[in-house]
Amino acid sequence: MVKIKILNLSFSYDSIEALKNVSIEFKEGEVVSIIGPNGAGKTTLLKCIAKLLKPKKGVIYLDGRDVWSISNKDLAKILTHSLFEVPKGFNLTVLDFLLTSRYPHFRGFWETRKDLDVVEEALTMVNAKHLAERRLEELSDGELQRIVMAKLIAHQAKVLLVDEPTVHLDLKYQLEILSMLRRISKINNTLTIMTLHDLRLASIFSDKLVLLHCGKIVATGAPHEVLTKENIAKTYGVEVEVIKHRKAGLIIVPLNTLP
Amino acid sequence: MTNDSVNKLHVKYKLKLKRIVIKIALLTAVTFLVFILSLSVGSVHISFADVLLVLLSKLGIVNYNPGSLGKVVLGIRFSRTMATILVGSSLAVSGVLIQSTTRNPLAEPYLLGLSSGALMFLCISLIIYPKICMSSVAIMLISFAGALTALFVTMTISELLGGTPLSLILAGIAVSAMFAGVSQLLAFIVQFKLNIPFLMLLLGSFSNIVLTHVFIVSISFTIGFIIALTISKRLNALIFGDEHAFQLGYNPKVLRYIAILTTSFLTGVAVSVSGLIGFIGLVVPHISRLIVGNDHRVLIPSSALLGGSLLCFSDVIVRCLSSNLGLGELPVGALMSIIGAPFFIYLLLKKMRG
Repeated sequence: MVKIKILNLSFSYDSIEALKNVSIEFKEGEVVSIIGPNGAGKTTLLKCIAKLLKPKKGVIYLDGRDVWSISNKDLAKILTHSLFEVPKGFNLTVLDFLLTSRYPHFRGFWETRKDLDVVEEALTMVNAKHLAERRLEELSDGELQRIVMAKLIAHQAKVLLVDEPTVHLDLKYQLEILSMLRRISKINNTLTIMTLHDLRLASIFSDKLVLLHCGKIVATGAPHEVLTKENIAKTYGVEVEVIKHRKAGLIIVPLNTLP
Repeated sequence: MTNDSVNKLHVKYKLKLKRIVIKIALLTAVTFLVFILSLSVGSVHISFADVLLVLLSKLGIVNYNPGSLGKVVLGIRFSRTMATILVGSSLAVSGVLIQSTTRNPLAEPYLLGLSSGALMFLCISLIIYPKICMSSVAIMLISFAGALTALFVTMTISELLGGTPLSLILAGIAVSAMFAGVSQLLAFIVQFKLNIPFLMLLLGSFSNIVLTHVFIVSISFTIGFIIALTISKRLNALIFGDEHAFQLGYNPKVLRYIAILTTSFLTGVAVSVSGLIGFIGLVVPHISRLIVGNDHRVLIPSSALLGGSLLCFSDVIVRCLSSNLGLGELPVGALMSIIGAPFFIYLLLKKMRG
């Protein structure tokens, strides 16, 4: 049973306060989207949970233990995230990338058959088996995002942290990636926390939303509780109409920017 | 085997590994051939068969006496051959390490100033205390410190310039030029005031190799190679970024320090033996990547083999040219630059065009 409990978390980059007194709980099986305007602290929150940034104040408990008291090796088996870069000029392949996600699970020098089977299964799940030998640099954004999903699967972690899974993607890939992510989370009963810009997609694919504004949590809960006219006006400074649609979840129609 | 099982990833992967093992075996064979060739070729020609017989008799398998001239020539040539192989391997492994930790395909110990840093430190310490050249350990430590200092300066300047791949190279060229300039001035003092043959080191040469050099560089290579191989799995992770390496349970900062120390040690000691030899650390890792791929667990050994045989072979060519032209020793570093610089330009063009 995986549970994350954040208590009074504050973080600042030098003098700029990015998170202020954030307290919230997540549990396994949930798909959570962190939403909010640019610079609200979405990615910062994700990085704090991943132990990539050390909070100034407050504690993040993972199954009752402070993440900073968990060794990196142990954390690697529980938690994975989607942050990485592909350096140019090395011709790194999809397999080069995916095989590394098995490293927390074996101590020896070489992968075992099981590790390769896990990677293969992950590639099959995201319909990307044919991409295994391709160079990462030449993949389209949609293909690359699928590989990121495969990586999250192959890592076999209980907590998945995903930063902007739909960025640069067109409509079809946005739907494909998010439904993939939701399916992975439900099959493996993981806790999935992602940052998202698109409010409508967030409302369709998440169990829970966290609305951040200037480093503070403005609202949290089920999508229809968070995405209200008032909350959006308060955080985004935009006047909107929120329409409930039978199939498409919440439709948010922007009307005017507010002064 | 059914069609389905052929398509299984673990089957394909095993096949790929098998091919890589064969390729590494071939590289080993090539290195051995170049080794024999290097022992055989020179101002006094010794046949392949004689070289092999002498080697076998050294191992106690056969009894063979090549005559006193052959013995002397082979003795000198053996030192030189081993030095070229070990220096080439050291520089190639340094290249892999520095490229992967900086995630910069243009990075190379010579271009980043490590080589001239090591040389400058050597010059300075020889001028301050000439007897230092008697101590192998002191030479190793001083050149290591020089390479490390240069790398530190380069990386600091690069950070100030924005920390991009190109700023690292530009900073490296500047630092390299500065340290090389100082070395050039000091090298004349070392050579003419102290009577230590030093000027050839500016151009990169193996003409003054003795067995002690082989001893020094074999120690540094062994240590460096073992460390590199130990962190090879981690380098596979680090190349995808610090954050990626971290989530796999590795500490990217510590890893980078280890790699930087190892690179400086390998390069520094290599320079103390052979002087400035550039571009091996750039060319060899890239060719190795084409042959065996990006997995550092196989990239590091194959780069070592390829670097060793490439430098040894270049030295053979240089020796042949030297004895045929009758100009005295030509520097092998110059030949490496002639081969390596166009390759660097090619990579640069590829980079600048996106």
